[in-house]
Parts: sequence; C-alpha cells; structure tokens
Amino acid sequence: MMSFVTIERRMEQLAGGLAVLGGLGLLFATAMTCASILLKLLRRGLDWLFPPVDAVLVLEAVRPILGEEELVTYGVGVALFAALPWCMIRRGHIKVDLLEPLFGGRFNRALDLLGDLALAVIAYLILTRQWFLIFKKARRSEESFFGALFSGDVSVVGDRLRDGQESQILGLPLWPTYMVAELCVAVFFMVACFCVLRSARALWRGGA
Amino acid sequence: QDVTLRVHHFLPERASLHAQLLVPLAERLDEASEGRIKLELFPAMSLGGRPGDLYDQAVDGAVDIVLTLPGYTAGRFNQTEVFELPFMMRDARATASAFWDLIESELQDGEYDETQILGGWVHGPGVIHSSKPVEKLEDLAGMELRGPTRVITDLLGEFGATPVGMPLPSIPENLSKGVIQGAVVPWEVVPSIKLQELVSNHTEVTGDEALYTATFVLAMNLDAYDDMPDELRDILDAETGKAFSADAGAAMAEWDAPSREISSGNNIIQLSAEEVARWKAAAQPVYDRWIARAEGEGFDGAAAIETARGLIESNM
Amino acid sequence: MTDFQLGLLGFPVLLCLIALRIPIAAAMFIVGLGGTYLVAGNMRMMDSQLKTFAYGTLMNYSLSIIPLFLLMSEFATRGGMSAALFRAAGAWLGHRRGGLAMAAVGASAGFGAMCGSSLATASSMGRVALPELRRAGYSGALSTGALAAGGTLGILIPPSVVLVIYAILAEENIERLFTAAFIPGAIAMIGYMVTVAIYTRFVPEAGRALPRMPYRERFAVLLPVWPVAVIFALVIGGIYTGAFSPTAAAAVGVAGTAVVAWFAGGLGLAALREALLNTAKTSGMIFFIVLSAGVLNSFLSSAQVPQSLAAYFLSAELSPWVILIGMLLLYVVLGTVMDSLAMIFLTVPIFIPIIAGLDFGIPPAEVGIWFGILVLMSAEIGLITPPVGLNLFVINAMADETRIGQTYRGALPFVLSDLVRIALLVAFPGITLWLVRLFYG
Ligand code: NA
Ligand code: NA
Repeated sequence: MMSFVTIERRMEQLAGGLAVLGGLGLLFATAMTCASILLKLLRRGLDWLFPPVDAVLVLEAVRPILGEEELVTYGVGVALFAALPWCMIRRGHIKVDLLEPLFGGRFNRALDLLGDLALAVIAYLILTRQWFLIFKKARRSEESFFGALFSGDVSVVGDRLRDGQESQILGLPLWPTYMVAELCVAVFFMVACFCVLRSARALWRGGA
Repeated sequence: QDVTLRVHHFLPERASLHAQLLVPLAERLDEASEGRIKLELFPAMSLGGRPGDLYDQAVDGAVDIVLTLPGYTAGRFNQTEVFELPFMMRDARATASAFWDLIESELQDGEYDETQILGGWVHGPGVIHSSKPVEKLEDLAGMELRGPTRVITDLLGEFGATPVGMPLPSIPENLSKGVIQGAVVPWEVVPSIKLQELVSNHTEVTGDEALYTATFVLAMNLDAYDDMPDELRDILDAETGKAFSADAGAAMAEWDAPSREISSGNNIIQLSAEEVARWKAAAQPVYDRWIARAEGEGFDGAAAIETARGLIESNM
Repeated sequence: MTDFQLGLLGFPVLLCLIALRIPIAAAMFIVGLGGTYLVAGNMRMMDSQLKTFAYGTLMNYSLSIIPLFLLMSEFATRGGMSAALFRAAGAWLGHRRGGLAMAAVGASAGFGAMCGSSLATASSMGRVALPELRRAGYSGALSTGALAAGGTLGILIPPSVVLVIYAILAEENIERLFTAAFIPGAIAMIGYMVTVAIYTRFVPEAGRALPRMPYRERFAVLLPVWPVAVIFALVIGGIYTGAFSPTAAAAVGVAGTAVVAWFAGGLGLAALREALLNTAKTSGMIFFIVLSAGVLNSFLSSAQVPQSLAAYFLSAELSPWVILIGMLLLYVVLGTVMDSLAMIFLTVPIFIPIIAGLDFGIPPAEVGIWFGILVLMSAEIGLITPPVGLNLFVINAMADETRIGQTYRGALPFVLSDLVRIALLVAFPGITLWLVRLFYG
C-alpha cells in the first residue's frame, strides 16, 4: 500500500500538472487575441490605403480572426476547470477564521474536515449532474447507460451523445468541451476526496 | 386541483414579449380557468443560467415553461432553421402560422420531442442598421457587422462583410467606438439599444420576402403538461397553439412600426427590386451550404425549403 | 413557512456556516442548493443547476477577463515592475516625513493601474517595499498599514475584478464603471498620502525623512517605469479608443507584461509554471464564489426575496439617502468579518432593484454607476478592517517583526480616510460621474 506521503505527492503532481496544462489555455487565448488585434489593425490600414472596393481584394486573408470571442472563452474556460483541483489541494478557498482562536485545536480540525467534506460533496454533485451535458437522459426508459457503455454497445452510447450542440459563430461542436470540463471535475472530485482524507488524518493524529 | 406554472425567460420585464404577450396570456389563462391556472413569470434569467440553458431547463423540468430562441442552441434545431434562411420569411403572421404548422406536423415529434411546444412564431423583417449607407451589395464589403443568427452570420460573410458575434446589449458601446459599423436586427429592438442615435442608415429589403427573421418558441416540460388535469390542459391548449402563435408573430411585426417612426429622421434606404434580385443571387451559396448541412443532419434540405415556402404561401 | 420566509432564513444559516469556517463558496452553494430544493419541492431545478451552472460560469466571455488580469499581475511582478515603481516613487517622495510610506502608496496605485486585484497588489508591493521601509527605520505599524491600504488601490483604481463582477450582477457597462472609478481611485491615493502626512506629524519617529535626492538621479530612476506606462496606455487606451474589448485588452496586457518579464529575465519555464499555478489558485477561488453565488441567487430569486424586499423598501417611505447610507454601513460592518466578493454577490442583486427605484436627483441611468463605485469603496474597506482583513494578513505575514496588533493599529488611520472619502462621494455624485459624462455625454 502506498504511504500517505506518496499519495499526497501524487495528488499534488496531478493537480499541479492539470493546472499548468489548463494554464496553456490562458496563453492560447492571449496569443489568439493579440493575433486577431494585429490582423484587424492591419486590415484597417489596408482599407485606409486602398479604395473600399479594392480593399477586399488586397490581401483577402488579412482580417480579424473570426469567432475570436469563442476561442478565448474556451481557452480560458478550460484553464478555469483545470484550476479547480489545484485550488482545492492548496486550500485556496476563502474561509472566515474569525472564531478560530476561540474554538481550540481539535474542534478546528473537525471543522476543517467538515469544510473539505462540503467541497467534496459539491464536486460529486457537479460531477454526476454535469454528465448529462454530454449524454442525454434516457426518456421513459430504465435501461442502464453504464451497462451499455461497459458491454460495448457503441450505438446506444453514440445515440445518447449530445453531439448536436455547436458554438454560435464558428459552429464548433461543443461536446469535446463538455468532456474536458467533466474530466477536470472528475479530478477535482478525486482531489477533494484526498483532502477529506488529509483532514481526517490530521484530526485523528491530533498534534499541532 | 390547481396548477401553478413557472415561466422562465431571458427578456427584461419591460420588453414587449413579456409585458404584451406573456402577461396577457397569464391573465387570459387565469380568467378562462377561473383562477385555477396560474403563470408565475420569472423574467431576465432570474432563476439562473444563461439564455442558452433555457430549453434544457424546460426539458429537465427545472421550470415548467420557457420562452426561448431555438437559435440560442445552435446545431440543435436544424429543421426550424429553415424559417431563418435569408429571403424565406414573408408576412410575419403567415410565417408564424407556417412555423406552427410545421411544428404540429413534424417538429413536435422530431426535434422538439423533449418538450411540449405551446407556441412558435417569428419576429418582423430584419433590417441592416449601419453608420455608412448600404445601397448596394458592394457597400457591405469589409464592414464589421453584428450578426443575429448562424445563417445570417454566414450570409454576411458571403456578402464580404465581417460578421461579429455579441449579445444585444453590447451593440451600443461597440458601435459608438467603431468596433462594429452596424448591426442586423428587426426595427422593434432599435429604441431599446438607442440604435437610431448611433447609426443614421437603415437598409430595408423591399418586395415580398424579408432579409431574414428569427424563430421563437414557448416550450413546456412534458411531465408538467401530462400531469395537468384534463379540463385545465384543454384550457391551456385553447389559449395557446396556432392562433396564439400567429398573433404573436403579427404583434412582433406591429411593434416594428413605432420604432421605425422614431428613426424616420434617418436615412431609410429601400433596396430596389433589381438590387434585391442581386442579393438573392449572391445568397445562393448560403442555401447550398444549408442544404448540404441538412444532409449531414439526416433530412432533405431542398424539400424542407419547398415545404416551408408552401406552408407560408398557404397561410398568406 | 412561505417561500419568502424560507429565503430570509437562508441568511442566518449561511452566516452560521461561514462562522463555522466552512469555505464561503461551499456555504453559499449548500444554502442555495438546499433552498432551491425546498422551494421547488423536488430535485429537478437543483439537478438542472448542477448540470449547467459550472459550465456556464467558467465558459463565459465576460468573466474570462478575470484570470487574464490575474496572470497579468503575476507577470508584472516577475518583470520587476513593482520594484521599479517603488524606487521611482521613493526617489521623489522619500525626503518628506513619512515619504517612503507615501511612495509605497503611490507605487501601489501605479501597480493597481495594471492589476485588477487587491491581494495581488498588496503582496507584490509588500515584497518589494517592506525591506526598504525597515532599512529606513519606519515603524512596523506605519509600514504594514500603508502597504495594506495601498493594496486596496489595486481594486479601487481600474481595471478592477470587483467592478467586472458588479457590472455583470447589475447589468452595467464595464467600461463606464472603469471610467467612473478613475477619480475616486485617485482621491483614494491622495487621501492615503495625506493620512501618512498627518500620522507622521503626530508620530514623527514612525517614518523619518531621508536625504533629498538630486534631480538628475530622480529622473534616472523614472526611466525603468516606462514599461508600466506603456502597458497602462495600451490596456486602458485600447479599451477607451475602441481598438479592442475589455477582455481583449486584458489579453494585450498579459502579452505586454510577459514580454517585459522575459526581457527582465524573470520569465523562465519555472517562473512561468509558478505564475500559472498562482493564477490557477486565485481564479479557482474567485470562480467557485461566482458559481456558488449564482446558485444562491437563483434560490433567493425563486423565493421572491429581492422582489419582496424591493417592494417593501420602496413603500416604506424612507428617505433615499437613509436607505443608501444604511446599505453602505452594512458593507462596512459586514466587511469587518466577511469577504468583499461574497458580500457583493449576496447583496447587489437585492440592492439594485431598490436603488433603481429611488430618486437621488441624478439621472436614473447614472445611479447604477455611482452606486457601483460606492459599493466598491465600502466593501473594500473590509480588506483593512480588523479582525478579518485579508490585506492586513498578507502584509503582516511578510513582516516578521511586526505583530498583528501593530498592523491593526497602523491600518486604522487609513480606514478613517476611507470613510471620509465615501462620505465625500455620497455627498457629491458629480465627482464620480464627471468623467463618465465627459466621455459618454
Ligand atoms: Na486596478
Ligand atoms: Na475586515
């Protein structure tokens, strides 16, 4: 069995790695926006240099990146989902510690456990409900979706996939972004469970 | 037993669709059922979520009824989109009736099978509002325009303009700073975003067909609908449906007139018949792409266009 | 129990959970979800929120400006921009009594003009200025107090994360709010400097004057500040001239500060990783609050709480000014123990319909802007009021030899200065609205 310290290190690596990976989404959004602005300014320059009708023909490709807002939204959104586990493991969520000195060590550690438990429950609720963004609920049928998934009944799985939804401007399919979001929430839930374990262990062991 | 239905939508309380369509509907239902059907209206997304989540809120039964635009969930209501194609819409009442007919005959059991549709209609003819006059097709070249729906975004791109997507309330700021040089919306919303003060040119398409329109639906959760006592459901059915949809379309077109009046000091351009013919010809690739797309979605796009045209004609 | 009573009951339950050290976001989430379940009588609304709210909040173009501003201040710190600002301000102000503390305030204001967050400003400036202040013999109370107060300038001077959130909650325009915040932000900076001057007049040994620097040297240290000026001009100028949207401006700021940090040798792979991780931690915290507030507000709205309270206050025939001042005082009082973002989320959706129905003798379109600035200022006092003041904690943690009690005492004069400023802005709405009227007619 892995020691607690090993698990802790693995979890930190997982959460940190995911956050950095997601952070690339921020960098992507930045690069994309800057490129779009440069292209737009260039386009305006060209339009100013040449009469309006010819301008279209001059370097047709020089125009702002279409759907820039959507790409920024998805880049930043992925970064935010990926940030959830890291914020959790680093105790980033604000608490009001006004009464902490009054409570005494043992009670405080119990409250720490309660706080982590609350976050883990929320992560679990989001994980299990957000699932239905990706897959439709079976209407008026009790057949088990997971049954179909594990028995390899691909057609049932494919039918339930919400692959119809698209972004407004670019028409990008949205289901991959749902999947990424769900995956990040799954890691968030896992890390939150670890944090429950961590504070339970601190409560059990006592000490300062 | 009495029924209280929670109605959720994205429009502010002062919007005509809320004040002049939903509020009167609530009053009519209250009267017809002698107080046994109550509509609780929650405007402006006050129960949370984004406008794009509304349809699913009705599907999941989070609320009982939603007023939404199928276009908010792009890619999901592809057959509905036929009414949003350029130069498809004619009279708003007739087009709304045609949309309802299609819902009844095909869409209710097709792409709307997750809800009960109570009404479906369209808004008045779309108009181009721009800082520089648009008198011919070439005037659109290079212009950054806010496009309302996916099809029209495609159309503007086809015409050489740069379509920009943004929510309605962002239009004034972006216009005043020159981020966009115009927006494509029906007359009705013009005063609410002070468009008549920000641009001085409005381009209308003359002739039978409008440049474009967007579709609206009033959708109800299936369980909530099924669970209503029969006599109350009959009342609900009687107060909604085809007549309600046609009236909603006609009302939206009527709300255009006062807004157009407010803007009458501006340069209102009416495209000549020859110019409109050029625009229609230039729009052909949009049709072709839509038909090709329809094939991927598993229906015959060309036939759908013919059906929609026929339905509009029969409701004229 | 009626829905409305249930909604009101939500507040004491929430405060109890928060007092029990449940993370604020989790407490809001739980109360919101539980309340939604009780009002609806079934799980369906709850399930629907859990399905869409997280995705809808995190994948949101207007909110995507927030992590970009956070990343920008990470890069700015690594580019040595806070150090350059402090050195320049110190050269010009250090020879006055309390001058280095004034320089810390001024440099914080400069950093705040690039950075949207108060904690980031406080920690970035604290790291640079605290050692210098100690070397110059400044008292721990004055040093930490001035830096904690200076940190609030990060959010009082645009760009500002809190104003972005207010804009979304109140459906106001982000740029107008930024414009309106300029003069009040500048007044805040001047007010803090005046506070330092008055304080050191009574307690001269807290911050003695340094030798005067020759002008040649003063201009020489001004030079390294130019990247700050350029980035500020790019970001703010870009927004106001319409070259790009606020979110795009934030992205430009990220790119600009990244370039500066790169040339300053402060942006290797390890530093980049560190910057991304810090940004992830803070934005994870902020967005979890945004998400939870959405859940809570949906519950309050379905229980008709904002609607009923607005109707009550509008029919109560109280003077609008009494209501306004009562609201602002509530922020100051709650702010002693609560987080400002959470307070704003809790109250703004309830206050806005009330405020919109009151007559303050200024055009209704401007009331929302003016109120936004007042809310911002009143809520941000909480960052420097004991017992729970995040800026005080951040700065105090960096100052090893200063006890928290000294920091509390050092911050109090700045709290007074905050109160005076808010009174001024309440009495003269024109101070806030002048620039808005100038720019937008
Ligand atoms: Na700032
Ligand atoms: Na405080």
